[in-house]
Amino acid sequence: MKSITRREFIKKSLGVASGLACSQLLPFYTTSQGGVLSPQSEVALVKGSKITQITDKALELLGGIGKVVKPGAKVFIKPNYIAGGFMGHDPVRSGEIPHPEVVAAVARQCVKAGAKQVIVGEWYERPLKIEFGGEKNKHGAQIKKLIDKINKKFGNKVSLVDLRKYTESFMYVPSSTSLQWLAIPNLVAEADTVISVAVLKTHHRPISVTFGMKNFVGIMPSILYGEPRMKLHDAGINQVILDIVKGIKPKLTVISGVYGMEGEGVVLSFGGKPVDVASRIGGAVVIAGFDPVATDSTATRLITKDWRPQPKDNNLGVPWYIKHLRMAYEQGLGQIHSSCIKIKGENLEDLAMSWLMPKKNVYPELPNYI
Amino acid sequence: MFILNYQIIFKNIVLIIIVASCFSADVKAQEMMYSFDIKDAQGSWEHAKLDARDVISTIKAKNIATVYIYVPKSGNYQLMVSLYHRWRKYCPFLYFKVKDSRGRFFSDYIFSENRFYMPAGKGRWEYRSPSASPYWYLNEGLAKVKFWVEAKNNCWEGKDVPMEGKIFIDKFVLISVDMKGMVQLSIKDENDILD
Repeated sequence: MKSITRREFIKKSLGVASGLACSQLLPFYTTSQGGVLSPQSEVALVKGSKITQITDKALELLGGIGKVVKPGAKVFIKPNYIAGGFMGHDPVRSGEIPHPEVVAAVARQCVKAGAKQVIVGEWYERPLKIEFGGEKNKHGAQIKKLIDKINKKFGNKVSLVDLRKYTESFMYVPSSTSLQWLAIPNLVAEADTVISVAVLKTHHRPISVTFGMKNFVGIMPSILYGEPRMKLHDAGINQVILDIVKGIKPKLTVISGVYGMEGEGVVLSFGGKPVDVASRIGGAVVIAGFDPVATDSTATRLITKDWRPQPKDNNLGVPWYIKHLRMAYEQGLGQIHSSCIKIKGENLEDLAMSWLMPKKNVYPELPNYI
Repeated sequence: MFILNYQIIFKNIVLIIIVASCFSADVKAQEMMYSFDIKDAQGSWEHAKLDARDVISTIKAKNIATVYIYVPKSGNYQLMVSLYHRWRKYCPFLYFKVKDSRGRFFSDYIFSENRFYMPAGKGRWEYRSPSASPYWYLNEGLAKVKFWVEAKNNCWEGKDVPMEGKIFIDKFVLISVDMKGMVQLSIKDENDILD
């Protein structure tokens, strides 16, 4: 019989206790995601100057996109492109939308993993200047150019789709709000793998950060819920976000931290301020994870270093005070406990940065909120 | 006995006239999608032409109009309205009160975003649904749809403001919701300027 030291015993006991605690806190998530996740959620955090490279690296640290994209799969990628460039500015440098290289890198990885079809789609009502392609280099969002390159190399597997134009039907998923059911466009509902590609930004209302989960509000049909989707807000946007996530079960979240937006986001016209992330931490970052809640929580921790007052429980941290993250955790959609999230790549504390809070929309749940 | 029969005959004639007038108002069944032109609308909205479409319009807040739509089969539906405006600053909110053939009653609202992204004087057609919470069960037969417009400062605060311009409606569409698969068809304006 192998003997162990007292220190080893305590270490192992803590590990087992932590594992049990995490697994008990994840009743829904661990059973609904096809075993992709362990009770200890993993989130990759990578810093660098070459955007495609750091995106690829983040996916590699998670064990590769092949974990969630199987050969022959239909993939739907939702970039947060719904709002950006309204004033004729560059929506990438303003931090309103994820960097196109991040979106393209994810699409490329899907194709390389054997995806049969990759749809990069968004439901947008306004004539965005970016049109998923940019206006002859003027607006910087050259996603179309990058996608064309992928298609040239791997065959025409990736398409850019405005869901408003191409949705043929809606599939309903249940909602615990007054709406009861939520209409999901068929191209999303029929995908084998749904991926969120979001950007680091704060929101002027009604939720203070807008990352991977909130991004999915942008697939919702404006013909039913209005533009902006106020019918979803009226029903309780926090729960609606979670009901969408439960319905479409995203398997991967990637957050672009090349440029971001602080303060009164989500667009320049609301008063949001562009952030060049490299100017704060010496490089761009990409955050990725299979657990949407853990990934969003990590992004939250990354940009809330100076948000005061700091919550007393550091293990829960600011994510506990972001209502939809807390509710997601409570409903078993994923993890927010820092002790249950394993960060791969960079050290989160080393990269955590100052970021303006949305003044008009600081969470009342934050302790000592004025 | 004779009097009773006479009443039944009279009621049937009235019903036939109403149903026939609805079908003459262009009821198109297309994959469980039923379109109703607006030309038979009653009330104080003006009848006009816009983009070669027969429309009704109003520039007056709370001006009530009424249309009758024929529900071909009892079931769950989304009611869509095809509307147009050129407002750049404020948001029109449309309010609906619907009573089906058996007196089942629904009321809800929809709004349309201001066209801040379009050149002055330009508008666009769009479909919007007041019944997305999540759909309405309507009984077969004639349903009465009463509606009016109010102007709000934006789409989320809902403060009353003066009407910024006219609102135009050219048709209503009923789309059935398939409960078995929980599916409904999508719809878009074929001449949407954004396309």
